[in-house]
Amino acid sequence: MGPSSLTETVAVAGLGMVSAAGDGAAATLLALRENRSGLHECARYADPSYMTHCVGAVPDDTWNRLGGADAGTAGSRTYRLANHALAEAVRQAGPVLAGLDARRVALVLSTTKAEIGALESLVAGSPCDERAQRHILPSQLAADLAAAHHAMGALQCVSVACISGLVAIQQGARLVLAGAADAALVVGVDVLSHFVLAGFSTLKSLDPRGCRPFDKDRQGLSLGEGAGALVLVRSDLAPAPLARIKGWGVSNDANHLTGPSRDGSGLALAVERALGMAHWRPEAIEYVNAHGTGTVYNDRMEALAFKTVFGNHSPWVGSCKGLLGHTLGAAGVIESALCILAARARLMPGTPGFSIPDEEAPARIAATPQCPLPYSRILKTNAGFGGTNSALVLEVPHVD
Amino acid sequence: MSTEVVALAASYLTPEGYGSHTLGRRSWPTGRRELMDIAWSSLFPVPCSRFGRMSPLTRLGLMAVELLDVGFAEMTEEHRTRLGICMFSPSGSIATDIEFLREPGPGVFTYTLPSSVIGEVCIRHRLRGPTLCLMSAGCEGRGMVEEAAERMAMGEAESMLCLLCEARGPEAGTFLNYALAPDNNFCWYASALYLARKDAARGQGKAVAKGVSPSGADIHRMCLEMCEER
Repeated sequence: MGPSSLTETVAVAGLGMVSAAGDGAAATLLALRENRSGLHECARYADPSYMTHCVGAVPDDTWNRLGGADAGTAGSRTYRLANHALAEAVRQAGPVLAGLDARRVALVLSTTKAEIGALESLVAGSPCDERAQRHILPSQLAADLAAAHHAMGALQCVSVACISGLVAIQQGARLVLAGAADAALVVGVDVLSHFVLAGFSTLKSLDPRGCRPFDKDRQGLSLGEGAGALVLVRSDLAPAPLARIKGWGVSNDANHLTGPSRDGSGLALAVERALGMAHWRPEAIEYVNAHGTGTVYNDRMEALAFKTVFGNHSPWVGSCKGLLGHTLGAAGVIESALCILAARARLMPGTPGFSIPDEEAPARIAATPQCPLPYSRILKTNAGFGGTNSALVLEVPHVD
Repeated sequence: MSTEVVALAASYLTPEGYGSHTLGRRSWPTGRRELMDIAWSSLFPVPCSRFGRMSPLTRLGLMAVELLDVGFAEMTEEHRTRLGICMFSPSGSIATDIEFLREPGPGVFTYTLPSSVIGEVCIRHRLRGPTLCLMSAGCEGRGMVEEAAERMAMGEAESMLCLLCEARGPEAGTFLNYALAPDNNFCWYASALYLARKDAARGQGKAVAKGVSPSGADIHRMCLEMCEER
C-alpha cells in the first residue's frame, strides 16, 4: 500500500525570512533577481583551524538592528532571528490568524543546534546570558517563540539533521490536517557558531572558495545562518493562499552516517512518496529546488535520484546554497519560503556559484534567474546526516 | 486520520536494569551499572564494530532496538522499506555536544545530532521508512504513539518503531537544570516499542492507547508493563 493522497491540502498564508541574502522577503527577492551570492569572508569566524571563514552570515547591519552578532554578548541569537522571521510571516497572515483561538494555533520549530553559542560559553567558563542559556534546549526556544506569537496549541521541536526544516513543515501540515490545530507557525533557525565551523572543518567538507552546487569543480559546502517561517492554515481559512502543500516524503538511505548513498535511491524514494501523496506524475514538476550543497557526493547523489524519478524529462533544477549558505536546520523552511516567493514573482531562481556543469549534473540546471517565467508546481528536497532524505511538493497559484 | 495500533514488542534500559517482552525484566548482573560499563557483547550475540565509537545516546537507542528482537533480518526488503521510526529525546545530544566542545574531532561531531540514533538503527537493520526525531522536553500536544499511528493510517508506513532515549551527564544537567533535571544526577534511559496496525497484526500484540504525553513518559510506562507481563 502506498501513501494516501491528501484529501485536503494545507494552505500557506504567510512567510518570512532573514539570512545572508537579505532581511525579509522583499530584500531576498531582490537578491534572487540579481543572482547575488551572500557568501563572504566573515571576520568573526577567521580562525586558522577552520578550513575557511567564507560563510553565509547575516549582515552586520541586520544583526545590529536585532541586538548584535556576538555569541557572548548578544543574548539568544536564535531567538532574535527566529522571532524576526516569524513576525514577518505572522504579519502577512494577520487577517487569517486574527479570528483564530490561540489554543488552536500550534508552533513547530526546526533547528539542529539551537543556541549552541551559549553552550560554547558555558563550557569555556565564560559569562552567558540567561536567556541564551535557556535556549540551548530547543523546546525552551520554541516555548518562548510560541508565547511571543500567541501560539498556545501544540508545540514541537524537530531535530532530524538537515531535513529538519522540511519535516517541520510536514509536522505543521499534519497537525492542521488531523484537526489538532487550525494553524501552525513553522519556524526554522540555526546560527553560525564555532561549534559548526569546527565540526564541518574536521570532516573536511567545506569549500574554501564558497560552495559551487552541481559545478564540475565543486569542493564542498558553505555554512550559513538564518531563519525562515511559514504560517500554515486549514485550506478553507485561506481562499487565496500563497501556496498549497500537496505532499511529502521521508526516507532513509540505511547506508552511511555522514555520507549520502552512492545511487540516490533513498532520495528517489522520498520524492516518489511525496509525488504519490500529491497524486502527481513526475512530469508535473516544473522546478526542483535541490539540497545542492556543493559537496561532491551530495550533488552526485541528487543528480542520480532525479534521473531515477524524472528519466530523460528533467525539470529545471537549482540550488540556493550559493545564495544563503547551508543553514542546516533552517534550510528546509527558508528554501521552501524562497521557492514560494520566487514562483509568485514568476522568477525561477538561479544557482549562484554554478558555472561549469559536472558531467553527472542534472540535465537542466537553472544557472541564472529566468523571468518572467510562470510556473507553479515545485519539488523541494533536502538530505542530511544519518542518511535522511525528505521531499516536499508545493503548488503556487498563478498571480494575475 | 486514525487507525488502531498494537504493540508487537517492547524493551527498556535504565540504570536499574533492562528487559523486553520476551526476556522479562532483569537487573544488571552486578547491581546498578552506569552506561559506559554495559558490555554490548555480554547482552547481544551479534557484534557491532562501531559500537564503541558511538555516543552514549546512540548506544542506548541501538541497544533498546536490539532488545526488541523483532527479527529484522527475516523481514522482506519491502517491509523494511516501509518500517518507520519515531524517536523522542528530552535533551538530545547535549552530552556529546559538550564532549565535542572539549575535544573536537570528526568521530564525535558525527554524533552531535540526536537523529544519529535513527541513522545507526537504519544502517544496522536496513530500514528505509519515514523517520521523525523530536526534542521532547517541554513539548505539548501529540505523543509518540499518535505520531506513529498517523503515519500508518496515512499509508506512509506499514509498521513503526517508537524510541525514547535520553543520555545526559551531570555537566549537562547543570547547564540545563532549570528545564530538565530536578537534580544533577547522571540520567539515562531508553525504551522501544514496535507497533503495527491492528488489522495487519493477525490477532497478535497488545492494544495501545495513543495517549497524549509528548514527553514519552507513556511509552516508558507501557514498555515496563509489557516486559512485566511476560
